[in-house]
Amino acid sequence: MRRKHQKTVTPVTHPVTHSATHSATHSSRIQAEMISRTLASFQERFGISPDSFSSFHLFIRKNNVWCCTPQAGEARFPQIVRRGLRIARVFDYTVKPTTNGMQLFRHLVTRSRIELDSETAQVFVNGGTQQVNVPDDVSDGFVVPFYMNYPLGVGLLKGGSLKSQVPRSRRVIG
Amino acid sequence: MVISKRSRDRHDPELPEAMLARFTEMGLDLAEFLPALLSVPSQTFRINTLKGELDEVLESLAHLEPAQAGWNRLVFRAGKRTKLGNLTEHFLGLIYVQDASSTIPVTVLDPQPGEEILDMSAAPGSKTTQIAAAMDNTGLLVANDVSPGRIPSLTGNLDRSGVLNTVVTRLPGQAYGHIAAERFDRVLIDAPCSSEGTLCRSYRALDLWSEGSIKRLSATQRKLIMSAYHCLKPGGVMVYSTCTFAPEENEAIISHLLKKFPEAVVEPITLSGLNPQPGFSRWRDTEFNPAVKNILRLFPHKHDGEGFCVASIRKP
Repeated sequence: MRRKHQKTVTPVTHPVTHSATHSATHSSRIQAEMISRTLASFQERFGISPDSFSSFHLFIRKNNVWCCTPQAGEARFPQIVRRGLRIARVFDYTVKPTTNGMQLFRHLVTRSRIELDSETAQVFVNGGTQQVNVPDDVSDGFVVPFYMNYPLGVGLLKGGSLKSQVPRSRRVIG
Repeated sequence: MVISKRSRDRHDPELPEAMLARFTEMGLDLAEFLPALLSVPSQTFRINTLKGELDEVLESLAHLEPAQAGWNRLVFRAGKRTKLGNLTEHFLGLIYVQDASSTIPVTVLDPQPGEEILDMSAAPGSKTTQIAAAMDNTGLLVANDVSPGRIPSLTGNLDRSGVLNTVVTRLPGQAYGHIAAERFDRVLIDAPCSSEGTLCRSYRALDLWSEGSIKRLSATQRKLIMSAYHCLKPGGVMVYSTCTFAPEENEAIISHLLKKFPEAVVEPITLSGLNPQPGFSRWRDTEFNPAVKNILRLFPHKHDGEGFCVASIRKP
């Protein structure tokens, strides 16, 4: 019954003020910085050239870096839930690549690679933490464990201990 | 008797009398048809070329003794049964476990790189990921599903399959005819249906099945197909598919479209490795448009897979 008394709400278009423009510019500058940080981190840590993403559309949503095709980036529809694939999360202190992103760009990963065998790979995809053999050129931080030439996702290496970062929803049980 | 949703054992259910009567009316030999309908078909999977090379993946899956399905070079039947979902190849997104019949609509749709394509009822994403792979992760693929509860399964499968060209929307499919008129090169409608063809995997379809539900679903399907046709560019192709046998949800829907748009062309579907049946020319007191004979019908006693109906329609 309450609904009957509700008035139709007419959308109000606010005039563009100096502060609104300033805010939008500030926001897009922060977003551009976050993308730059991500690409720089990918290059430094994993050897992925920023040029690899030149044909894609990168954007920020809630501190996450998303990647999609230019057409998907430009598409305008009501009720969009998401576009493309999340490739990283940006924190103040670090950039964390996603399992899905690293699995997709596997051929670009040249640094911070760790080779796993059948047993250690199984522990990793189940979300476990384990001691692994670390190559001399790999330092502590985020790494990409490979098995049979395929990247399993992202792991966090600390003092020879590899902690799986595979999302719970992706873990293999069985 | 109706099997409860919790009952997942493989004891054959007692099918509703009305359903059996309908199958008989369709001219099906129940002695041959029913055992096939209720038995689990062979395991099939599709190789996801967005994540790996066909030869490499096949080599790693050699222990399954995969055999290629005739209609699609990326679809394989496993010679040995195993839990495909627990394989490392599945975790890596190199394979997608998908029923053989379910791979046919996208094979018929034949998506091309760089196109704009709409998947109108996308969740859980089997066909969406198949389309994205055929498009080689280029162009635009709009994956729509009206049900909020089904969106996570869709996005989860897009993530695992490494899909970049997709925009996920949550709209009634009927809305697209207005908001994206003549926008898309191709449209897939894997319509919500009474799911009679999936009884080989789950008896859940029985919980909702009734003559009334077929009528209600048919009304929704009519709206969806009209909306999809509006979305097509001139020269565009639309594939309409269901996993049910009911003519009200298949031939009647295509006939309805042809009545409203007589210029629409129902194209014949020729795929190798299948044993399809043509669409019904009439059902009860309704005579269908003769063009519905080009609908591809798959029955489980003629084809190793779920029951399916597929129609390909071109907008001149």
